[in-house]
Amino acid sequence: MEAFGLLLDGFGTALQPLNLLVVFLGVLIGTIIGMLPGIGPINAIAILIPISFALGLPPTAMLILFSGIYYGSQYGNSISTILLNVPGTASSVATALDGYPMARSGRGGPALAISAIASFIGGTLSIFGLVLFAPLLAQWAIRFGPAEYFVLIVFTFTTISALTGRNFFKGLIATGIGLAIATVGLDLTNVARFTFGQFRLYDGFDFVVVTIGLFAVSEVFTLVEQTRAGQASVGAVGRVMITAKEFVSSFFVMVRSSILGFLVGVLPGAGATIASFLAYTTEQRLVDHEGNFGKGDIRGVAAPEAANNASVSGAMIPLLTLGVPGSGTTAVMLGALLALNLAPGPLFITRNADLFWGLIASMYIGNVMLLVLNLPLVGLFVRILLIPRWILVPSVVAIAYVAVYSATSSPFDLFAMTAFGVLGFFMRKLGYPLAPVVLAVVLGPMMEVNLRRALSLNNGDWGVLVGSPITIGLWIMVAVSLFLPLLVRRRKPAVKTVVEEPDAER
Amino acid sequence: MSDRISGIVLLAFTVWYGVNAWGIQRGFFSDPLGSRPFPLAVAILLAPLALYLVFRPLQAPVVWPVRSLWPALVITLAAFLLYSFMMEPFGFIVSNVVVFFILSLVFRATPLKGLIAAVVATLALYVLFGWLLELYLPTGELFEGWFR
Repeated sequence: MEAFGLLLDGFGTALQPLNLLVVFLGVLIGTIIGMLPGIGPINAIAILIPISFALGLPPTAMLILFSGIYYGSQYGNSISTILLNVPGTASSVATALDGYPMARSGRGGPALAISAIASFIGGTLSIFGLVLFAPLLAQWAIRFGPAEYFVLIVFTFTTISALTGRNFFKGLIATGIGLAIATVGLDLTNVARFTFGQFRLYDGFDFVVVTIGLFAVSEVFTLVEQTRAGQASVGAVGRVMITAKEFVSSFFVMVRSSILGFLVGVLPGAGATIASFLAYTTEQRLVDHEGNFGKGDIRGVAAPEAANNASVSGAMIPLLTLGVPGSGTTAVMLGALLALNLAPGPLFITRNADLFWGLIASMYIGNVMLLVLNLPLVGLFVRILLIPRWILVPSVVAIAYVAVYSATSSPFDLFAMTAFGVLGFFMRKLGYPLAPVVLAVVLGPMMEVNLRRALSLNNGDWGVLVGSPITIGLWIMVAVSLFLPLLVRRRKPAVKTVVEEPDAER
Repeated sequence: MSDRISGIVLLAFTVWYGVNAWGIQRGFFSDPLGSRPFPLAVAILLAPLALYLVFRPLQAPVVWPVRSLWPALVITLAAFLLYSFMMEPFGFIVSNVVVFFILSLVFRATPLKGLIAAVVATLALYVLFGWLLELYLPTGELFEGWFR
């Protein structure tokens, strides 16, 4: 077992004091921001990128930190969902269906307990999947040349446009806007595009500025609207425990949902939201013979929570093995890796074995820490929900602006961030998903470079784009992702209206 | 209606973007494709989508903020712009206290509570970012003379 030895080495890396500290910070920050309204993992990671660069954090520690925030936020998410019926992000909306009824009937404690346990099972089981599939996919991806990458990125864009947000056309428009933003600046032959003689536009818009603007700044406007609604109060949680019977009844639900969530997570654009709903509806069909789902059934909390945590490890696979992320959050992580000159791809795992296996080991450690944080200490976290908005929101704004300013020392970036915030606000209002914009900003330059490289390697012959079985297979998948939404729209699933409530997939 | 207007705005942007893309010059060292086609392709992707929105709006109900909320939204935007303007001349501490105070009022703090929160949070952030994380926080061009 080669992998076993490598994993042991990974634990050696993950147990170094700095890495232990960052995994703890990551899961702690993740739990808190997952719980609070309007921050979310994508903002937290985007804000921490300039800060960790300024601190000179080593790449391994940085990746461990960001991943910790990513999976930690899925734990924290469920706390506000269950207790307040306020899902932090769309991925925990399915949890509210049974979690909130449980809390209202005085069973908030068991609901929180099962969500932490399901998250743990989903989180840890899916790491096996990551260990198993990532090297396999990497071996296969070695055959990817520029043409294959170009088509793969096209596929990523069409699926994320099809799967996030309310409307396929709006998803495509969001992708187009992101691509337009990505073309600003010098291209690979040093031609200045859309710079209008402004030297500060030569480097283009930093994806951190775009992300924080679109997500965090625009969220502040949305929160201004909501303040008039007043702040909800949190009742007593009670004992955060479940009985052995409850555990046994939901055990296979959690295992099945973990597998499902992991597989959905691998797909670009699908992510935690679709994973959680799919797990919920699947389990409803499989185990809910009495029609208890939706009325406070503990298995209705276990299924989506296991699935959305499992999807996080799934989402790491295309990021690490292909270097082509499938969601907004993993796109931001790719941006950070590219800035570190660590381009993920087929050789990433073999070349950076200590980083990869250290990350895997840290994910096990992080999930154990999260279980401890979320079972006995959940009462402490609940108090954070009581921080008034008038302290919370200005603090988030200050941290976001300071983080960006400290990295670039440029007020221009602060203005740009504000402008993207206004854009994000109107896009949210009009029902455009935001994740495709960020994905396109990060992947746009890669897409163009690979297209131009593929063509120059073949003396401008466009045939190279359909020149291998992989490209043809990918084009077929593009076609399917383009036509599927048009077909599916005719049959509206019952849960679809609920998915649309909070803003796009992060 | 909102969709139709967003379609018109998007179409205007696409035309402007496309015209600028058309004007891109070839680089000195160039590849077969060159620098122009990719942005042009983006414009060609966006144009029919924008037209579609203009002629077949999706009728998705858009809930715009009620009229009484717009002043709060404009003040919030003004606070963001103020932050960007003030950061270099006035430095982190002054701009953060001012902007924090304004935003806390938007989120319905009483003036006294808002002011206390602004001062305390600014100092806390200064300790966290400036001292513990050793990030660069501007002192402010106006005050730099005082410390020399």
